[in-house]
Amino acid sequence: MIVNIRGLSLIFTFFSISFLASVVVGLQADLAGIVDWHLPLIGEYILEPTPPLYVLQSQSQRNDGEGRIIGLTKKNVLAVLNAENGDIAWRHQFELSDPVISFHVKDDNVLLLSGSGGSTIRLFSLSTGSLSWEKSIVPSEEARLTIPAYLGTDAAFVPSKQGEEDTVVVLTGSSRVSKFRLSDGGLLWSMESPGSGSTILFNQLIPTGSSVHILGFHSQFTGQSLLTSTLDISTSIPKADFGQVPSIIEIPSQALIASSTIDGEAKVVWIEHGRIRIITIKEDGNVGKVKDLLPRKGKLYESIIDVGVRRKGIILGKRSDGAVDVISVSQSKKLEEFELSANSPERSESIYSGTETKNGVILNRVYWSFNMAVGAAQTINIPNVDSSDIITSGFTFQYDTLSHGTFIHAAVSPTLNDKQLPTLVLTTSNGAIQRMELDNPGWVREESLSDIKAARFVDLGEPETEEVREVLAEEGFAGRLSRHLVELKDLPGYLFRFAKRFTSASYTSALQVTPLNTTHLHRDQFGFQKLLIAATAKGKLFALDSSNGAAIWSRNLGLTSAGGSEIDIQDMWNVRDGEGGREPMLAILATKVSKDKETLTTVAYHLNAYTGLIAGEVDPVNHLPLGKTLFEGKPQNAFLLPFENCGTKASVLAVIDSSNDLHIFPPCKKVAAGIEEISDSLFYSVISRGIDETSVKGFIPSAAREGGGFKGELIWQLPIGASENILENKAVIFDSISSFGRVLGDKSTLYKYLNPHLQVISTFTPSQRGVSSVNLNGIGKIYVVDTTNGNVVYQTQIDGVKERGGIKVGMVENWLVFSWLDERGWRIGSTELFEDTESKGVTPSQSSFQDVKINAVSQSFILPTEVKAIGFTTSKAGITTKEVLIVNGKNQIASIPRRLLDPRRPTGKPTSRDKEEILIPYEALIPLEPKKVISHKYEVLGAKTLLTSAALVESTSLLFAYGLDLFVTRGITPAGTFDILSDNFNKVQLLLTLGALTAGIVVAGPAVKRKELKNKWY
Amino acid sequence: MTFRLDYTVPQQKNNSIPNPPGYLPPASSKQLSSKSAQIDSDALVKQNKKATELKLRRAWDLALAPAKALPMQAVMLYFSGSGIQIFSLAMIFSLLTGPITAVFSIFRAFESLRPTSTPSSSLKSDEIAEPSYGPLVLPMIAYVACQGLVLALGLYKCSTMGILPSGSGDWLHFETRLDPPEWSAIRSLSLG
Repeated sequence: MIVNIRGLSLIFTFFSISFLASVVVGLQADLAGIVDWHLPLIGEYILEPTPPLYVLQSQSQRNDGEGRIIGLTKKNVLAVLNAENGDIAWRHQFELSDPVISFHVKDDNVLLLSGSGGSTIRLFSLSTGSLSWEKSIVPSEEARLTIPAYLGTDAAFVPSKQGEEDTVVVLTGSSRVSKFRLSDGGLLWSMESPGSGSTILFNQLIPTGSSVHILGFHSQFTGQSLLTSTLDISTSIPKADFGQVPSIIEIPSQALIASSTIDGEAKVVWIEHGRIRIITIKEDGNVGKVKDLLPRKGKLYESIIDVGVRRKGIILGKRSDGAVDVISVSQSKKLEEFELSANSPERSESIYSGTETKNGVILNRVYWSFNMAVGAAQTINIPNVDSSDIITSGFTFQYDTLSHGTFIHAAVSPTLNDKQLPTLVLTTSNGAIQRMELDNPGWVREESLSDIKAARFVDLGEPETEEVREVLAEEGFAGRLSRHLVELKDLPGYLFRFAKRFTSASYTSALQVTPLNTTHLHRDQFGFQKLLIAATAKGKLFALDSSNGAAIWSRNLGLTSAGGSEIDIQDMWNVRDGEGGREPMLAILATKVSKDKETLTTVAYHLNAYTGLIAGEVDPVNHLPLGKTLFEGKPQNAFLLPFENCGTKASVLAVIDSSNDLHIFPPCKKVAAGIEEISDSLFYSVISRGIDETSVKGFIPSAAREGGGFKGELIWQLPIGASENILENKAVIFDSISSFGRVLGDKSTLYKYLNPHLQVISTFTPSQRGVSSVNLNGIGKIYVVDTTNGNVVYQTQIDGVKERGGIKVGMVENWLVFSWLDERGWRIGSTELFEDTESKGVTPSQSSFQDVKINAVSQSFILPTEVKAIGFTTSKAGITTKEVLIVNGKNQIASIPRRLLDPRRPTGKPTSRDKEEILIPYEALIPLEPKKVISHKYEVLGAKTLLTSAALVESTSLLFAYGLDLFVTRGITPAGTFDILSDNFNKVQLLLTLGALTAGIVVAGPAVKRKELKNKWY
Repeated sequence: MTFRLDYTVPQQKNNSIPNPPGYLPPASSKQLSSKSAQIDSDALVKQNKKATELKLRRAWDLALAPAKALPMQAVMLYFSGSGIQIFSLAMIFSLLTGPITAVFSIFRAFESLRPTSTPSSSLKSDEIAEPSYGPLVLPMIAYVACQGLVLALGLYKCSTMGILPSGSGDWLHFETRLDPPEWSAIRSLSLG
């Protein structure tokens, strides 16, 4: 009878458990956009040689098309933005070995030159972004590299004539000229200039009439001079010998070829001795006489500015006093002068840009007025380049220099509004793109987020009404009583929230969180909502709401200008959590260039995560935080110390300078004493790269230095082979560990080798030295180094690695995962390190200076996709299985189940022990399940770093992927959502059942008692 | 002459109500020693001996009963399979708790089988000894041993099912480790 009852209760337990844990496997479509967000970015614009261009995408039904902004970015992206709302119309990212050089637009055609020497040519459709064709003129191995990369490359659409198909001529590799059909990319002709080589460098071309005129440089003993060449446009036969132009050229960009009013002719202009010189090339290739462009003007010119309208015969000439003239090359005269463009302390330096209109050009100048603290734009509209009619206009605009820095480019729209004012798209020095109109500042794209140097999740505190405050030890009884009485006002709110949470909480409702703002900074019930602090390379900090990507605050750490940023962020750490009502704090380490660009110092800041305020003094002039200057030079390494600052209760940061000495931030005597105490068990390592040898060096802090800090004492050194290139250098992820071993089928234990000091270094040794080829093979090596004693704990060698693929590594606890590309495809390796012992495991409590034998179990698999980055999921207590996260070849983020990557998968027939352990028999191929794609519909372009953070519930892991695009998800549950009730769970029914049962007990209890009593009588 | 009131209830000399058939009035020692007690004692001893023998035999039967059921239980266990299911678990539960409860209630189980010890001699037959467990020691030991066999069978089944914490893996989650004694730049990454 007892057995039966127990059995029943067991059944009940089983049922209830299986009921509760109705596991959600895979990501469901309805969770897309709820559990994650994706911010597509393009990167910061490249301004040379083709800055972003505002064009109108022609539409058949309207004359005025929609505005589009085409540009190339430093992230190797060709992007087209919608000018109305700033959204990305389309974009393409190219491989690192194929750098973008320039783009050329005509109607719906976007021609892109890329690769070294511009040897790869692609044609895109402006409206759809689809690739029409792609041609490689020379194999990328043979392509000539020039510095800058765009030197010696050019492309021009051949003016279409009646009855002829559209063509384009392209100059690549500073010597080869080719002509393509636009419709299908058919090569019509291609010719390498016979004389060109090391001394002759072709730079620009212009097709006109029946000729293609080419401008080149001739390097001679005396210096560079100009040289022209003319080809027949239909046959490619040179029409004449090289035209030697008597000239001296100092900077290649100070000479250009422009069109003339006469079809078939071209003009070459350059600066020589402060004068603008001009020469005419006739259609047959004959060169005229050198003339002064503006003979009677006595003013000296400093430079020629090409704003991309030279094919319309318009250039800008900058005079020695800074004023800029608009010069028509074809008419050989000055058309206009930009008003008040001479250098003045009242204005910033001007930025010039231009765009072609149907028959004319629009030129634009923007500058910052220091007096009025506004931006000013001046526009010169030349409706027809053959006449000298011009319309000038201008406006001022409000612009947030504090947030965006200075503007470094302004793309001007090819149409003007009824007030003759253009729409501008500003590119700013700290990476933002902003649309600007008169009285109407438009959208802003924060493209600096494409270059995040460091990011951290910051846990938020509980809502105030539910906050458990720290017990105040010094509080008296009366004080506490009165405090509690005051806090009673929060009771109704608390009760309401509790009842709401108790009755209505489910998985979906838990995912729908209130967006954060500066006044509402609380976490949700399950800790899915956090603050995401991102530090971009140029020193702009952002706090993003992890649930929707909205920026809570942003702040600049330093000044940025066209020349770059004075701040270069190195890394960032969480130094204080938000427990007990205090505000979480982060430490930021950066290098700062002094104003005169001579000295580089390492600076550290303390950042309040809730408000974005930087602790400490601010610059009296620009109100930027000064931070704490630690030392001169760059830091080699930095890490947190296991000490807290006495005042701020923030963890103390140790920073290693270039001479391997240790500095602490914030400086504190107590901490220094603490370091001295543990100096023989505090280790740090740096990678020192020498000319002939690279080595990893380990140090301990020794003698205290004057003025704080410690001298580093070298205790070990690990040389890396001279021919080995270090690819990646990653630390082991060592968070909360729930299990110290793996239980085998016979219930014995394989104890994990747990060592929190491990560093993983991957290297590549090319098989042939000195050959820079894209498809280079070689040997890859992976070292796992104990950074306390410099021992190589584990080492593996991979033969036949293709360099193009690189080697990606990652290690968590005792599990090392690495991927590479070999001859046949992508491979992934998995290694687990175990203690080689029969008795109890000793790591990690044992000192790493005591010997531990290691047993490494390895296995490798075939992956059907590229691996661009490796990361791991994490969880609060470390109980949930850890999965590998990868960025695959389709720019998706996918997870690979741990069980598939288990190196202990049996290769033969699985034994009963293997079955007991539920090991899957080995199969070489790891299939990529579409269910395991975390980023589902999004393409997370350029993701390089996968940062994970644990939610409050054990099952769930948060992920932040960054690199170019940003992607955050809180839907990674490697073992299912076992600790969250699913939506199917009928809470009301459960409550009703419980209520009914209670009522039944209340009613039936007395009756049963009465009956029992009655039974006793008889 | 004094007059005394007697409040006592007059004692009945003879029981008017007859005893139930087969009821022996409690025999006092006086009665036993007197009269024909001597003649009956032989028969009584004989009867007593017989009862004792019977009880001992019954005790041995009881002691060995679990062992006899053992093969059947083994067969049942074999057929219940080694998977962790509700039926095999219930069987194992009964196999494990049964012997333990049986051993704890061993005295109650053997209570009715206590033999009354025979008077050793007619001379000292004045007192009848209380029934004792003395002669049952051997069957009781056998009983415990047999229940032990049942328990062992249950444990064996547990171990084949893998629910007996016999390996180091079963205790892994109770193992603790100290913090590593050293600090390194890499280890401090877990700080934030």
